[in-house]
Amino acid sequence: MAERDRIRDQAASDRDDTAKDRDRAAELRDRGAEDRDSHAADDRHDAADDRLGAAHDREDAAHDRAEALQNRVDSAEAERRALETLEAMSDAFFTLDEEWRFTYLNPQTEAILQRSRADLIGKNMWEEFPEGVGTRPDDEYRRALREQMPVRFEEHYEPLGRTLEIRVHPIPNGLAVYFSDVTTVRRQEERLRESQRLEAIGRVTAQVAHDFNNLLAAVRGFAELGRAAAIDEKTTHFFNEINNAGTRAAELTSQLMAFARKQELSPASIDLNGVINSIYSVLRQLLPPRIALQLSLSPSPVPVFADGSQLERVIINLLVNSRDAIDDTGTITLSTMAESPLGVMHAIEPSAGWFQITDTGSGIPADALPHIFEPFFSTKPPEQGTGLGLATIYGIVSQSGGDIFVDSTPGLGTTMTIALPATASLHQAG
Amino acid sequence: MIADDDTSVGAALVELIHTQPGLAFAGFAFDTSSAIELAEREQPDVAIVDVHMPGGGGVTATIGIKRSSPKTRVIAFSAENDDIIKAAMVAAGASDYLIKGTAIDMILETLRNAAHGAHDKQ
Repeated sequence: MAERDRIRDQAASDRDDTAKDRDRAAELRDRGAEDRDSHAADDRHDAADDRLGAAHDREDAAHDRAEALQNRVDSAEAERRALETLEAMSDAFFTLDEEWRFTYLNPQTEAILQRSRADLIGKNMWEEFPEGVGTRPDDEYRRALREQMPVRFEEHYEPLGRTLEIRVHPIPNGLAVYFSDVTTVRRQEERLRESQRLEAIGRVTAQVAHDFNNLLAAVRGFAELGRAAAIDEKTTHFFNEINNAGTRAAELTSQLMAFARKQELSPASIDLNGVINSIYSVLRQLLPPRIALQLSLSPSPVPVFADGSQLERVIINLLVNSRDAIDDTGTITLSTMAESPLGVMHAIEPSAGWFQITDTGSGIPADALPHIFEPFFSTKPPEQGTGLGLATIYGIVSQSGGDIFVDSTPGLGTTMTIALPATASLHQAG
Repeated sequence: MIADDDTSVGAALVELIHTQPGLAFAGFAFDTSSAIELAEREQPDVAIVDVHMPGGGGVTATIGIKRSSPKTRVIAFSAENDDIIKAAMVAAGASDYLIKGTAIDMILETLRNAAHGAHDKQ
């Protein structure tokens, strides 16, 4: 019994153990399954991670490609905008490589150099513009390239008669050059300096003329008294000569006062065309037959606010100056216009009337031009004038609130351009 | 007639004319346009014209006076002995040129000669 019980118990125990083993196996199987599931999950997770990573990589790559593409687009857009800016600049701009060959020119460069980019791209600048070799621009360009530092200078470009401000910047493998036409600005600055200088001369002149007039009044007064008290013809004659000399001296001081803008003016609204037409017959008579007189008057009236008598004097004096500058045959042209015939704006625009007198005479030497409005300055021999004509004209025009411009080329002729206010203004000096 | 915007000069000339038998004062004008109108109306033998008349100047005044009264002898009257203006006044038709401040007897002689010249033309 006990044995059977033992065996039964053993069997039961065995059965228990087996069950436990089965449970355990099951557990192990489960665990294995779990493990397999877990591994599989891990694998799947890893795979998923890999796929996700790959997706991220693709996304990053796509992003990079997109970014690169965007950068290319932005760069192209920036380049396009930069090019548009260079093309539209009022400054001239061009680039050179290290062999001095043009690599780019904008339209303003073409205009100033009067050469097309198609003609210049790839060409050596010094070969195309040999007049620049050995000049200051040559030195400055080479200095910028050699020292890799920007340079800036001004130069008068004779072929065009313009003054240019030039800025040269080193760039990778070459130079970038900007230049702008400063002719007008420099001329205006020069005119301002000139007018201030003449004004200073005028102040001194006015004081001298005023004091001299007082002395002249005494001389002429006593000469008149002496003539009245003279008891013989000879003495009377002597006092007459004193009086006549005093009269001529008074004329000089009067012209000096005109230069110093100390005349009495009676301005009114007058038509330039009317003034010129009314005295045309006189103007024609003042010229010899060898000199032609042409009129180029504005088709519409050109009103100015000025003293008609002084305007008459200005026109006649300018005409005679032109006449004297023509040695043989020639032409004098009088023109009127309501707008500036010059390429410069003027302070009294837009309300101004203009007239010009152009002659085909000998012209004025360049070194004399800055001085022609100074009192007593003359390019003629002393017996041909006092040198006060243009000084007087300058004074009259200035006192009237106007301005006078001179353009002259020796051997070709001279153009005097006068601007006068179209209306009464606070700018008219009194 | 006298054409001058300077009334003191004009008054002195008027007084001078009144002292001379054979001379009569025809009128006074202060600017260019009134000088031309006066000449057209009065047809004077002599017009004394200031070179620097307001309203257009002595040259314009002389041209207009000669056009409206051809027989009138114009005497240019100026404070300046400016050769250019003198030539312009002569070209405009002036027969004489007097400087202001010239001796009175010379002024009178010029006036009488001009008046006789005007009469000779008639």
